[in-house]
Amino acid sequence: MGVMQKFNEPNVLTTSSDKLFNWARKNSLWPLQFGLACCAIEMMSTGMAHNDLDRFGAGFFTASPRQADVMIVSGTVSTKMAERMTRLYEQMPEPKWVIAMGACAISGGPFLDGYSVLMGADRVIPVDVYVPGCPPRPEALIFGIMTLQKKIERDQQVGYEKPRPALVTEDGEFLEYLPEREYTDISAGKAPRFEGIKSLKRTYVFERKGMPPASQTDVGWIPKEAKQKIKEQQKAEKAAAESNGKADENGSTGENA
Amino acid sequence: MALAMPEGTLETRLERYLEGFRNRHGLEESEVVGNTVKLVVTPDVLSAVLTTARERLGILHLAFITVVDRTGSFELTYELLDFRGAQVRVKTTIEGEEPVIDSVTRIYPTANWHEREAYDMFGVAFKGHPDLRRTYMWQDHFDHHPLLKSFQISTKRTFEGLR
Repeated sequence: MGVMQKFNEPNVLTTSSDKLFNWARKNSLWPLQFGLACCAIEMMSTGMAHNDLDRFGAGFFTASPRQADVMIVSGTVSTKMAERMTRLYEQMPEPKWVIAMGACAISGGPFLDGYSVLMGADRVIPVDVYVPGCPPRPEALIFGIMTLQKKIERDQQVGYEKPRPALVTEDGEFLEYLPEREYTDISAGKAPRFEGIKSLKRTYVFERKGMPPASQTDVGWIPKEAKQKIKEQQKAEKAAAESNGKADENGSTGENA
Repeated sequence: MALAMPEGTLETRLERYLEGFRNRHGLEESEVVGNTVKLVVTPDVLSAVLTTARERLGILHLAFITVVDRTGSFELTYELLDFRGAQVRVKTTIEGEEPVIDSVTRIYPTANWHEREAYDMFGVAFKGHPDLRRTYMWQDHFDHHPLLKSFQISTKRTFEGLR
């Protein structure tokens, strides 16, 4: 609003469509009303008055996947539940995001080697943000949602292929349990691929070795060296522009003389 | 059917139940401990004992069925409640790695799901069960009974044969 008040009369603001849409999207996230285990209690508490998820525009939990933007996987995913979860995820309209909340949704947690537990929600659906904890505190979930908002802010609608999780190797061998394989056969190469979809590659990174902690949490993090390089480049451009200007001035004065 | 609550004090009822079972069936062991009548029977008279409990003694509720894997034999416990504080605990042991026992769904309909669960987790086959499907594990692709002692935990097994 501050920008608007600088104008004295009605005017036109120019911005990229990305910025506009991302601004709208990130400030009105509707999570799916979907709780699996004890993390769901913490998720409910996050939505209540004390922590008040509504401050971040993410407080309205829809009861229908058709209206949801975010799926918060809150709790242990059993193998039988994985199919239902995948179905719910597929029923959500694009654009959609997934937050894996708690140790169980990340890796299976304490039930990792159980006979019925899926070892992480990212085995069946692509996860955007991981919120560790057992269960995570409401603050942690809020931080996860803020991180997701940061991620959405940097999203691009045009000229960008959405990364997909790896489900098959280069040789076409299946790595993971994939319910949709049954009826689409996309990953098996039987069904026609949509144009513009890259070959499947693992897109999420579990650890960045030798990087500072900011790189783990900030989605748009760039290394210090790269930052410095960019700065130097900008400086050089500026200097070049200035020297050019000076040359122009000299030239003009020379002409005048 | 009009439900009749059992009459008498706890002591008289426990005595009545114990005598009722003793007079009608050959029991291996029978005693009263606290508010519980404890019976140990052979598997072939089990359904007869439960029929007596339900029809003759008027004990209306089967609370749960427990299975314990004793590696080589299975110990089944049926716990009955009479809604007034008295319990009847019927124990029986089935020999063999592939246990079979008569279903009690016709006596206590609630046994339906209890028996399905016991089948799911331990592979106990209940003869005469109307619909012995698995309750928790997936029906088609999971070929194990996970609470058996012989079941080995393995992270790979979760995905084994699953579509």
